[in-house]
Amino acid sequence: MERRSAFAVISAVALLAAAACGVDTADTGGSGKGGGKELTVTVFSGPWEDLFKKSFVEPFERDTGVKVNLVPGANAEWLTQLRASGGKNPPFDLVVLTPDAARPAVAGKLVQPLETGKVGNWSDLDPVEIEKNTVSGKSYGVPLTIGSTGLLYRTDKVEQAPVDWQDIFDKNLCGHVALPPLTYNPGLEFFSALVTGQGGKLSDPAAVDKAFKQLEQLKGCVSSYPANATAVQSAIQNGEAWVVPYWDGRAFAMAQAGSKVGFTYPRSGAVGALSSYFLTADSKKTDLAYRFLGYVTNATNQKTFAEGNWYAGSNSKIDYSPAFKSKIKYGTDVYRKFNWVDYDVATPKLNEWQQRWNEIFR
Amino acid sequence: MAHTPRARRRTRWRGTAYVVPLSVFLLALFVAPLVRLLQLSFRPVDESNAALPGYTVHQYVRVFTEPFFYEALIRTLLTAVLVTVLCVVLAYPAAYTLAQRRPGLLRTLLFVTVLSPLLTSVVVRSYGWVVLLGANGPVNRAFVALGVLDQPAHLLTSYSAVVVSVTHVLLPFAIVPLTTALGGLDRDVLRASRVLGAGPVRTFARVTVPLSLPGALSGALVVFALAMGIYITPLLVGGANQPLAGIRVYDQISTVFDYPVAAALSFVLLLITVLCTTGLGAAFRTWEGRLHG
Repeated sequence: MERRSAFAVISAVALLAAAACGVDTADTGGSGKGGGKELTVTVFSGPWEDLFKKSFVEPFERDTGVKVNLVPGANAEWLTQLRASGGKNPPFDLVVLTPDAARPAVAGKLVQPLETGKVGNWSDLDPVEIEKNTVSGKSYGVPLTIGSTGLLYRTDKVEQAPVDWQDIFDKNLCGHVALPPLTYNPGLEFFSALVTGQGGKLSDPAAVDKAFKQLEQLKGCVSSYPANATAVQSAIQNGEAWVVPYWDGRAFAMAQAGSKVGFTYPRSGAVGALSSYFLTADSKKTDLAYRFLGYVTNATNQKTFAEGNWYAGSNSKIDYSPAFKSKIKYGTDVYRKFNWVDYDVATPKLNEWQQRWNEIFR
Repeated sequence: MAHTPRARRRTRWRGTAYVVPLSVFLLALFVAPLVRLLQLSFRPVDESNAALPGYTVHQYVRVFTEPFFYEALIRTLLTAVLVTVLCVVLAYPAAYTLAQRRPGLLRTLLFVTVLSPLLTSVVVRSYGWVVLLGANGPVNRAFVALGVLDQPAHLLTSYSAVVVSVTHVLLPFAIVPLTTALGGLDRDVLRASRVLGAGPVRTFARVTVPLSLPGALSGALVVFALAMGIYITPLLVGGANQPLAGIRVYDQISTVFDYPVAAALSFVLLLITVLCTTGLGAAFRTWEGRLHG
């Protein structure tokens, strides 16, 4: 009897272990509850989430009675969960991604091509943003916001506001520059601007070498290497740095909150930063998801969202407030002039470039 | 009755039953994910770094041939050794003071002071260093006020700042076992050393340290293992450009989305940690064997 019990216990343990080792995990949470009356959507954490709720979720829930479950977080964790699901029974129906994460999601068939006819207000969306979400002629992402990387600076420390990327190399700023590493988006966006600003391409090794040569001028001048938004903002606020490549929306939000900061859209071109919603592969709620996307693309809803976080919306019919218009550069012509990071080239090269970057700034 | 074979078997199985819940817990929540991770580290990847079916050693080849990875491993090992030595050296005076105190309010207060950092999030403690070492932080302000510096120095983002902050974060893990070891010392042995003519320094070096070495070693092993894997403190205090393996793993997952290479790097890091701690333990046992015959 005792032997049988022990055998049963050991068998149970072995079965548990085998089950954990041998089966692909596939979380199905979020798509099954409420008889189709719930939708699961990811959102970037922080103020972005609060504004998203106010701008899109509340009107949608009020009008339809459908509950929207929000999953706050960031690109990497959602992509991990989607990869773990293997494209089956995804843990959410709509996922917001920036282009660096969208690329592997599309390549891995973790998100599905859009039936653009089902997306409300599609014809009002900015064509450049749509183009940036198009792969092999198919549209994948519904653009929501667009921002850009330029130069954030301290208005009380910098005598003359920078006008172009090259101004970061100004000797007067030496010792007061914050330089995000290439593994943090604004760092790669700045590096891309250095390459493309001189007519080069990330795919051209000579142009990349030239940009690294230029970066060497900053050796000994960098006071901080911030690797996230909090670190960038604290480096500027506590005086550790006076200038840093950063996003326009966050810069203007800092200024609005009382920080003595300004923002420059560099003359040779700011670098575009896009966030878009993707319909996950094998989502069981596609009809509801398309319905929700109609709210996400609605001009009125987007106006609330855009003016709250200082990033332009994708709907080109938004009538922004004078305060927004006076600060944020937006519109198809502006976006066409942006430098856009070529992630197809940059992602596979990122480790190698970061190593070179480290050798300069070690 | 209690010593019959049947009774012995019953006792043995009862003992086994007590171990089962923990074993299930470990197998399901620790060993199984570890096995999955090991499996992942041998997967090939496609051009967008997604894992493909099949097996390859390519990820491990990359870890040992690309400076981005192997330089980080070397730096991590050196940093962990340095932090371990610093923690053990700094832990001695604190542990000695704690061990010498008689139970009472002062001893309790000292214990709370030493252990309270462990009750606080490591992120909070790391940000404490960011505030302290910032351009307008108290350290820089004091240096400027004292005339040591003309203008605030860039204390953050330096390797020294990483070593100092990691040492601070891990110090309690060295103090606790050392305090226990020092508290268990036979006072008569220390007294005998002094009676035989050894001064306090000699007594400390020749008697206290050897007798407390098991505690120091326990602390050192814990600190070393934690220092090998730590990433949040170096990331916050030193920045993402610090060439440390933990930060590299974080980068591969959150920026490059290459999980197989992150898994391979993690396993190499784990292997180095296991080898070093096993080696240190074996060296200690050899030394102890020689000491006691």
